[in-house]
Amino acid sequence: MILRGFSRPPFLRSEEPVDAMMRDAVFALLALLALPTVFYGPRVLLMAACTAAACAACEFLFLLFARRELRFPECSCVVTGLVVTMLMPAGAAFWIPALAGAFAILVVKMPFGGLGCNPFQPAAAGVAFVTLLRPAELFSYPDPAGGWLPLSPGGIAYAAAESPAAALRSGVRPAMAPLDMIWGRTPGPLGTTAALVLAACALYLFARRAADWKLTAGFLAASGAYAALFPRVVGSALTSLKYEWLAGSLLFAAVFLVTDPVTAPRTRAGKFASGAIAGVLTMFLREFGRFEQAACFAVLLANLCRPFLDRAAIAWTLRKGARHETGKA
Amino acid sequence: MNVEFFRGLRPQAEGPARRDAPVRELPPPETLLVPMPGARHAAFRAVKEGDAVAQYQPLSQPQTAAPACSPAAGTVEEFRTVDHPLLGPVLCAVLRVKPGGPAPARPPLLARTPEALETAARNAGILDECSGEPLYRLLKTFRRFGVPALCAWAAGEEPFPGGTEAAFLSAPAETASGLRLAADSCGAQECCVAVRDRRLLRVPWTEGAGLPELREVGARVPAWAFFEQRFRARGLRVGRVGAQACAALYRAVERGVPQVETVVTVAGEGVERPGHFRVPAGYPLRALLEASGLKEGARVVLGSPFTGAAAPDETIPVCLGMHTVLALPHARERRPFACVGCGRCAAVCPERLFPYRYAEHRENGAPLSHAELAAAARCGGCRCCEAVCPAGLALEEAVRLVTEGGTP
Repeated sequence: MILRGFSRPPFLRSEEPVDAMMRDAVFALLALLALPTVFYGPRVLLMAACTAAACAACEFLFLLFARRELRFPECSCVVTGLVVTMLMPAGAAFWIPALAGAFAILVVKMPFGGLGCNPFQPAAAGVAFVTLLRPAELFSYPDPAGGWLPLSPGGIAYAAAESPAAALRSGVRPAMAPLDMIWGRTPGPLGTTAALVLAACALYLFARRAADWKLTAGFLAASGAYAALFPRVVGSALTSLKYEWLAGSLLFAAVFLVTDPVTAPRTRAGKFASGAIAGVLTMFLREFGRFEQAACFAVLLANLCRPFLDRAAIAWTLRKGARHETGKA
Repeated sequence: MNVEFFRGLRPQAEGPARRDAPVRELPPPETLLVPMPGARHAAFRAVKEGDAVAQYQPLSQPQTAAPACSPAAGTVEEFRTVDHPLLGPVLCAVLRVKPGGPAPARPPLLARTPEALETAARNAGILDECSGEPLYRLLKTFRRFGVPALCAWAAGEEPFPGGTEAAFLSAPAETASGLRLAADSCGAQECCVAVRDRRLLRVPWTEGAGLPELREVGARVPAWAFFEQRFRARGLRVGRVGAQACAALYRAVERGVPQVETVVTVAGEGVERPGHFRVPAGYPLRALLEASGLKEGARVVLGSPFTGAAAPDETIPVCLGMHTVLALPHARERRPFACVGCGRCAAVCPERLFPYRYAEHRENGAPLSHAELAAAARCGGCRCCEAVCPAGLALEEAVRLVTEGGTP
């Protein structure tokens, strides 16, 4: 709690307002950019800046044409831009994440009323849109050991390397050492491979209360259970769990996509359930779907369940509360 | 940081005030501005302008409130209406204090029937500092509804100490005796004193040997809601009376002295010398704050930091029932955002409500289920939901509007 002199009670309020939550998310995402910058060079920084700028410009233009108050107090468009960038291959043409960001802002977020009113995770929707549009570019990853990429904003030529998620999809064990997968020295979407940094970001966001651990816990528990029960590679359940968690964008989705407070359920039980639904769907779509990265689609489908989950949890809690109330008299 | 695992808030301790510091007396002022609730009509006044009054003499005889008694001997110079944050627009008697000794002792009340005790509470003008209601009316309500357990509330205003707590720690025996009298008046079988931490009590306290049980309420906010839930779990209803009101009832019955003074705790980072002060009703708030060393630019709050009222200025007088004055450093107002759906309001609500649903209903007319409409009545107005809301929404007001039948 922090002391603040408000004119109406309560005079002590939470020190985590919405803008601070968004700033924390931006800090975490910027920290996540450090290792990709080391591996792929400053191109990823430029891509992140362009995408964030595109998102901010789209929001500004929407507010201008909709004749609404022009303000960007909560940096949510920057968060959307950075999340979209993290799910792109390092060698993607800049217009692909910019298009995803524009779709997220102009189609998924602003028409519903902006932050707090959007029913779907904007970044997930944007990435899903460009996934359907240009799957070949989106699943073609440069090798992090191949040196820095040129700064050219257009599509660049590079030798595509097989990502761990693609290997799992083919039913073989990824050739990378687990330590490389933890440090992010594997091909994949640029912000999703460094598991250790992702874990640190998760702890930071949970400690700062910018993200809710219940959603992440539900997501990881359900995806882990699915991986252990239905392994795609030969080996123990633990081996399957290790590779499934470390491959692709699953961990990133657990920390940054499912934890979006606007599109996640508000109730405690609903949060666990929504995370679990997204986790199971991610694994199911990975195994039986068309694309190796399915977390965005799973998150969008889990967003659909939010009203139902919340309604059920509220009815159950209120019924319990009413029973408690009548029992006491 | 707040802990959300078990509902409620655990605000961090603020300010250097000691909970068990001794209660200090302040020098009597030349003029008192004694509030007389319910006496705006001349028919309810017991004195006129220019009248000389003795100490403890009734100044008013209202129909709907407890009478105000003169805290000191002196002369009523005039009557003045003050817009008080705790009492609303209230008539105050400007009393020019005449130096003199204390009034002679009066005989104790002999008849201890419930009705006689209620009458004594009424004539003594005792105000319950927890509810802001006259004590006689509160006891009558408890008797009518058959409250089986009665609690003397002696916990502070988390995370700060409070005048109620300081009053109990300075005179625990008087509070205990007054609680027993209040229990006799309303027919409660079980008595207890709710304290923040029993180790703060420096005198021996043997429960069962004529003394009520001490129950700790801990640092969780809202303390009363969680305290009440403990009794609910046993199928009991519990009534709450402030420790100062209990002690005042004891003094009224045993010594015939009306309630004319209150223990006020001044705390917060906005004062240099926080402490507990015993001051008469009508004491200028400005003098109290000067004695505590009010810092420049601090905002003054009366009562709890979660449900209290902001003091418009320092010219208002101290009234009975005012027990905590907080001086909080002034800061910029936070602009409200749209609800981001974090669910913290629901996580902290002690009554298991979903305050954001009522805010949605108010904002855009989202339909509420019958269960949600019925549950809104359980809201105790603790404002914990608003304290944790990162968007700064007026959630308590949204719930209250539903309870009162307001439309979005």
